[in-house]
Amino acid sequence: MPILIFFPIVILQFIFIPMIAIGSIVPNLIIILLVYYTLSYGQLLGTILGAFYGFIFDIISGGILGSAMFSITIAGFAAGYFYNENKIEFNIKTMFFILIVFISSSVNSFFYLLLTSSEIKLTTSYLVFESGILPGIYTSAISIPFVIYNKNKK
Amino acid sequence: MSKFVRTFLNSFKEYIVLILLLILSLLIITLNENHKVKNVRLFSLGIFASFNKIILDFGNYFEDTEYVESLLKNNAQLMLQVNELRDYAYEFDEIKNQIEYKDKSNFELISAQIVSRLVSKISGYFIISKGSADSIEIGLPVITDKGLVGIITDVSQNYSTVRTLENSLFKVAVRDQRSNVDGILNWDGKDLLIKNVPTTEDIDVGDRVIISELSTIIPPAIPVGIISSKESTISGILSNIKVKPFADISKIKNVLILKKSEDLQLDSLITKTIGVLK
Repeated sequence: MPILIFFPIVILQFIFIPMIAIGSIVPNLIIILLVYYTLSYGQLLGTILGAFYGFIFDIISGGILGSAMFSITIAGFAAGYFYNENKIEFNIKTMFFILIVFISSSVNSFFYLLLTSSEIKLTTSYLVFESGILPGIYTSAISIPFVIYNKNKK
Repeated sequence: MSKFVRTFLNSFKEYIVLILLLILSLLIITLNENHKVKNVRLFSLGIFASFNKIILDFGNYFEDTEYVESLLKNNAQLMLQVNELRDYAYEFDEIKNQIEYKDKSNFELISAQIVSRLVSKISGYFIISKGSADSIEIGLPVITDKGLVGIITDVSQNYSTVRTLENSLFKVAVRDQRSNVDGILNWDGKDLLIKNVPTTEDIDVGDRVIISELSTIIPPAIPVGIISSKESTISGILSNIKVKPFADISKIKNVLILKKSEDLQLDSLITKTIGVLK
């Protein structure tokens, strides 16, 4: 299931999500999906799934192969720290989910930029704030309907 | 001993898997230029782009795409001609060339739709709906009716990858169309910059920037953008020039690929020769 649902999500990510980009800040649906599965099944699955998602993302995006694999693996691992088998419902159906999406997305954007920006000099504040936190905020905002949907689901 | 190893693996399995996967991804980064890896990638890209194309075509069902494409082509051809005429206007001494221009200015354009796009601060890539079957080749410039968008970096049978101006790996020789000052344009994650231009050079805000004759990849005289600001570095000897691109990379849906004419193939020969020498 985590693999099957990935493909429609990645199509959405490449076709429709750029339409709602604010400048070059784009929400990342793949991270929302990854956080959901990591909080449901644990850190190990989150890390492996992150690597898989990242690898496929790299292949079909035309970008540097391995860069998204690296960053999404770390994002999955980071989300895995919040996994608690006794609190799965709480983690997925409350605003706590949005916070974890924010952290994972910021981690992903930060490492992705770090790897793909070898050609240019970037300041730490730029790396952390503009390329880490801002996409993180946007992605977590996009995950709000997802939390509401989960909350209303029996 | 085996018990210790088992306990160790059990306690740290998440960390071990993480480290192994990170090493693997770093290894993959080093294999980016490998031909076999490129072929696998182009194959997957082709399949994914086909899916995207179907969805996009469904969305554009009621749109007269042929008419839109022909208008885009006309606009782009006019833009290139206007730009060349503007270039000639700066060269009063060589006024005879303007007569020769009429015979030369025949731009062959291939229209394509953007099938998917990767937007990030550093890496701008598009996948477009034309490939080697439409005689698209690596290195061809991609434009709109406003100006340069990027360059073809990978080609599969029906799809191609475009590295846009807003990509830190994209570097191109440009010149100020008014004063003929050359420089290298690249993306710093925020802006398009021509770095380290001596402050004594005649460059003004509002000047048009076009592809330079020094470019070994892209044919000269394609408009790129307009100079929006000029900032001196700390030493005061050099300045960084900010360029605002004519083409709005984030909003375009259709692009045109400019096929190189015979005389422009000289550039690719130079590129190949440099490759052989390396």
